[in-house]
Amino acid sequence: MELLTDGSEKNPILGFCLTIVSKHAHSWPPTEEVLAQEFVDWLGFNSLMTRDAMKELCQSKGVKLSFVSLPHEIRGVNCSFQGKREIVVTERGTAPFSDSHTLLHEFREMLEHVFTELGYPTISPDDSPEARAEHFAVACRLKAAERELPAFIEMATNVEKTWARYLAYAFLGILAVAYVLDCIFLPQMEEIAAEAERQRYVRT
Amino acid sequence: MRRLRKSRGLTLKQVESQAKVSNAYISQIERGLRRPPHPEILQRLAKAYDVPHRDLLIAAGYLEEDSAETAKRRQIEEAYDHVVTDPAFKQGTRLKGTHVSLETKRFIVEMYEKLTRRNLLNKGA
Repeated sequence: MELLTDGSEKNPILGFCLTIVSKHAHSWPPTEEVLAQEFVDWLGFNSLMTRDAMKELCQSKGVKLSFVSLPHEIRGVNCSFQGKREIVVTERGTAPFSDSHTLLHEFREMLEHVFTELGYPTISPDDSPEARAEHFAVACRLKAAERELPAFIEMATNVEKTWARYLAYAFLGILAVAYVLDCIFLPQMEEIAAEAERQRYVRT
Repeated sequence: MRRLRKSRGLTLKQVESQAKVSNAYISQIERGLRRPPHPEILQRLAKAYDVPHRDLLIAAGYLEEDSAETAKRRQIEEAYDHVVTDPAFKQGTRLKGTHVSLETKRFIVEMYEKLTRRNLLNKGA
């Protein structure tokens, strides 16, 4: 364990997994919500990020991220080899925020590989890793929004004119509801978009 | 044909509506009760299943796969098998459905080659 801890200085993902194991070993495995909260705090993930910001964030954690044209049926790929880590996300996102959802999904699979190597798998053989990674991605996005919301509310509260303040509250409320719905239903929206794309292809 | 349809998560009814081929006829083809369909029908099915028309023509016996293509396909399949069984290399994907196409396998093999600096696809080159 000591050797691993030493190595984690050059391997942030390993360091994160070791921290999670030491914090939650007594109630292993942690739920996806707990893991998501820890991960969002550790990564510094925000709900509204550009692709360049995502790349920088990943780079700071020793993961190379790129957006490329991927084969039709995949949205993202993650690979790890001897401490080198890379995530590739499709450049053709089919729904709002699908980039960040896919990125978080790939991170979850990466984390599971490390947890398994450490002897602390969080997913049982009966569970679907894909479904867990989807759950994790949704939970991360909701946690990030939950963390950022107070700052937005404060901004709205600071609006001087009463009517403008209420307008800001209303706008914020609509945005928050839309974002939450997007988080929860993104996988289904992607399926619908992919199906529509396929139907268009079949017709032509 | 049934495996292909199931891997796409499609029902007979869905294929019927997309390819404009009766579901009873598709079912009979899947059960081997009919002769291979006409190439034009195969073209519509290929679009519904999102596979190259050529692949279905080969499967139906209308075309013969040329040996270079077969060799390339086999090389990718073998390289992919090597990649997924290499314990030092961990990978995962976010897939639409459950089918992993040859194109995707090739992409993952190329990622492996890049990360490990090993050459699997052009060994003879």
